[in-house]
Order: sequence, then structure tokens, then C-alpha cells
Amino acid sequence: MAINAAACLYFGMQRVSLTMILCLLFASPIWAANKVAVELIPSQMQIKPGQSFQIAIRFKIDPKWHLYWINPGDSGLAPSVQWTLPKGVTISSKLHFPPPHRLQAAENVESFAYENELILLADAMTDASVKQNVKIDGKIDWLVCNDVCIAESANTSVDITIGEPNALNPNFAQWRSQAATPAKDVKSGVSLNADKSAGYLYAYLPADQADLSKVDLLPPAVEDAIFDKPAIKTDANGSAITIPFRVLPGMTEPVTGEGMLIRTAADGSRKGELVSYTFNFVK
Amino acid sequence: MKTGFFAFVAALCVLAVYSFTAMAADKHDHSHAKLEIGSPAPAFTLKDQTGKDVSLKDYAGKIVVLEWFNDGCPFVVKHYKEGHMNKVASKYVADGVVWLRINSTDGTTPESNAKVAGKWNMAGPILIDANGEVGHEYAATNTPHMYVINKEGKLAYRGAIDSDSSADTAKVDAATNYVSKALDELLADKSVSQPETKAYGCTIKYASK
Repeated sequence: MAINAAACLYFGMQRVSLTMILCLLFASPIWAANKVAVELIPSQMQIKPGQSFQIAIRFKIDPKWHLYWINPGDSGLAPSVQWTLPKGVTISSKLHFPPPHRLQAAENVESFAYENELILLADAMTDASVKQNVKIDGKIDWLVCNDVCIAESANTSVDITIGEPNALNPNFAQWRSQAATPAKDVKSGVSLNADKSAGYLYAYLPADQADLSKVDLLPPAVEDAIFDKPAIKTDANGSAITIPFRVLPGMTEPVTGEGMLIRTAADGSRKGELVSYTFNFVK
Repeated sequence: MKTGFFAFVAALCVLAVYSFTAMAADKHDHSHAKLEIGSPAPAFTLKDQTGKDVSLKDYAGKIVVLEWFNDGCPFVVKHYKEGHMNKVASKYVADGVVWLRINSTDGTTPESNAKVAGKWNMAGPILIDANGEVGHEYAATNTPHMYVINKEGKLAYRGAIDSDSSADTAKVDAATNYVSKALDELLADKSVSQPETKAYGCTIKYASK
């Protein structure tokens, strides 16, 4: 940018008018601009000591670019945040993600991604000792891709005042309803074949929901298996959505990760449920 | 006159049919047998960033590392900006291993790769695979995507460079380098204990077919 500006000054002095305009165009943040704008939005601007609240991290993504879920799929990386917190404030390291979309990034490359906008929710807590207004800083890093990928980052902050709690930011009702929640009453697990070379994940569903146009299952971010596309499998126990996988050798201890079961309602709205799977390929 | 016209049309038809079958044959070539660990590594000849031809067969009897490369990818930058990848490569090159980078990015040029080789002090060739033929042959999907070929010319490892799938350079030292592990085992005449891992990084932007 500095070089651009310097060059512009030089050329600008030679010939004003058009050159200047061109220079202004190129020296403007168009070149250096991030593909994603990010901001922190608290659920309430004012809280009382000891109260819990949430912070939304809102990513506005340029058209045709995308961000990633915790399991990015075959390539990519999920956004991350590093908080700098005042005394008496804690924030859970686990962020709530909404259901991502399957995105065919290239032949044989599928991503679990978000386009246009992504809202992540962070659970924050204050203790009773917090008497003064607080400033919360978050350094946010993300990878944004279309045909190419760019690593971007931003320093964001939010001010919370201490006093009588005020009303919930009205956006939060929608954002909370979009965030995935832990699955309830879903019979799920991992089935492995005898030699532990392959298997499948499963989540049993009511018969009328066991339909790939209504339900999807995304595998957890587990490095020890190559996951395939979901399929519906029916056995004596009912119907289940399954993800076949091939085991990669070398696991030394079992790992647990969360997959996401995504149900699409008749109105097109999507709800994500987190299903915990434990993989034990140790031979 | 009329005969001439028909001959011309006929010639056109022959050409059209010929190019159609050529296209079909070309398509057939791409649906190669799936590359597995232990499969013979597909042969290739590519030009490096200086315009020199490099063939896999030139290195018969040697251990060869193929590294899918794109300097525009943050995960590649992670391994180069503080010299980590160069350090690993030069260590094994000193042990007689051949290290070849392959750039299968659409539109990549010898000039752009020569420039980045200078910027990052990279020793050895960066092979230009702008039409993506070799990348497709090896089913490379990511940058970095790593392949190790043993002395018998068979695929001995494929997958990630290491166990840390972030784009953070500060995490490289603490990660397990799978390629180093595979090379150490091959150099000690052992079999590779972890022959396949999940590659991470950027999607390779191949030229459209």
C-alpha cells in the first residue's frame, strides 16, 4: 500500500486528472481489502455481575468466497478466535456453529462451508467480582477460499457495561435457533469391520426422516479415516443415515469427535445436531 | 465444383469424428486405475522452472518425494516462510533422497515459480504441471500434498506433510512430520508404519478440462 501511495504521488505530480483518479482508485483499500468483514456483537450491552451472556462473531463474506466448519472437509480450515479477557470474565473455548453446506470445491474435493454470512456464538460468563465495565478483545483468524485461499485476521473488541441488564439483542433469537445443539434421543455409533480397516458412522432416524433429501450427516474432524458420502441403511433396528469410511493406519489412541446431523424442514430451514462419535482403530 | 464441396464436407466429418474419438480416448486416459499404496508410481516428464525436462525415471532406484506446491496457499506459506520445508528437504536430499515440487495450479508459469524459488531459497526443481495431468494421475487434491516413492518405484506414503492441519507456522515444530517419519523408515530399510494420512491445506485449482 505504501508503495502504491508513493508511486501515485510521483505520477500524480506529472499529470493530474486521470492519473490521479486511477491512483486514488488503486491506493484505496480495494487491493488490500479482506474478503471477510468481522465484528463482535454481545447478546446484551449491559449485564449485572455474575451474569452469563453470549458474544456473536459475525463474518460477512464476499460473494463466491467461503469459510469452513470445524471439519472443513477435504481441504480448508475453520475460523478460530483468541480472547484477551479482563479479570472475572471467562469465555468457553467451544464455539457454536450453524450447519454448513456441502460445497464441491473441485473434482473429488468436498468442503463443509459457509457462504455470505457466518454467525458463531461464544458463551461468556462473568463472576460477581466484576464491578467495572469490561472490554473483551478477540483476535480472529480465518481462511477464506474461492479458487484460491487467503489467510485473514482481525483484532476485534467489544465493550460491556455493568449495571441493570438490558434487553437481549433481537438478532440473538434467530442466531441461537440456527446454531447446532447436542443431539437428543439419537441412537448413534461407529460400526467397524473385524479387521478394523473400514466401517461406518450411523445415526438412527424415524422412518419418515430417513431420506437423504431431508437429512444429512457430516463426519467429525477426525484425521484417522477417509469418509465417504452418506447413505441410508435399513436393518432390524430401523433406518439410519450412515457415512462409510476407510481407516488410515497408525492410530495410537482412540479419538472422539462431533459429527453434525442436519435436518431440513419442509420450509427449507436447516437444524444441526451434534453427535459424538468415538473411533477406536488401535490394533 | 460440387464434388469438391462434398469432399470438403466429408473431410470435415472425418475430422470431427476423429477429434471426438480423440477426446473420448483422452477421457479414458484420465480414468486410470486408482493409485494405491504399493502401486507403481505413474511415470511423468515435466519441465522445471528453468525449462529443463525432469522425468521420474531419471531417479530410478532412488527414494523420491513429490510435494504438491502452490506458493499462494497459506498452508504452503506456513511451511516455507520460516524455512521449515527447506530444512526437511535438504536434510533428506543429503541422504540421497530426491525432492520434487510439482505445481499443478491453473495458469502457473516457469517464471512465477522461479521467482518464488528465489524468494524462499528453495533448492531443487519446481515442476510445472499447468494442465494438471500429473496431479490428476496422482489424485493430488491439496497443497501441500505429499507422496513418497520407494527405491522400487512404488508408492510408499501419501497424505499430509505433518500432524498439524492449521496454517500457523508457530505449530510446525511441535507437529509430527509424517514425511520425515516415512523417509527415516525407508532409509533404515523398514516398511512405512503410517503409509497414508489425510492431506490438509488448500484445494488445488486445476485447469478446467
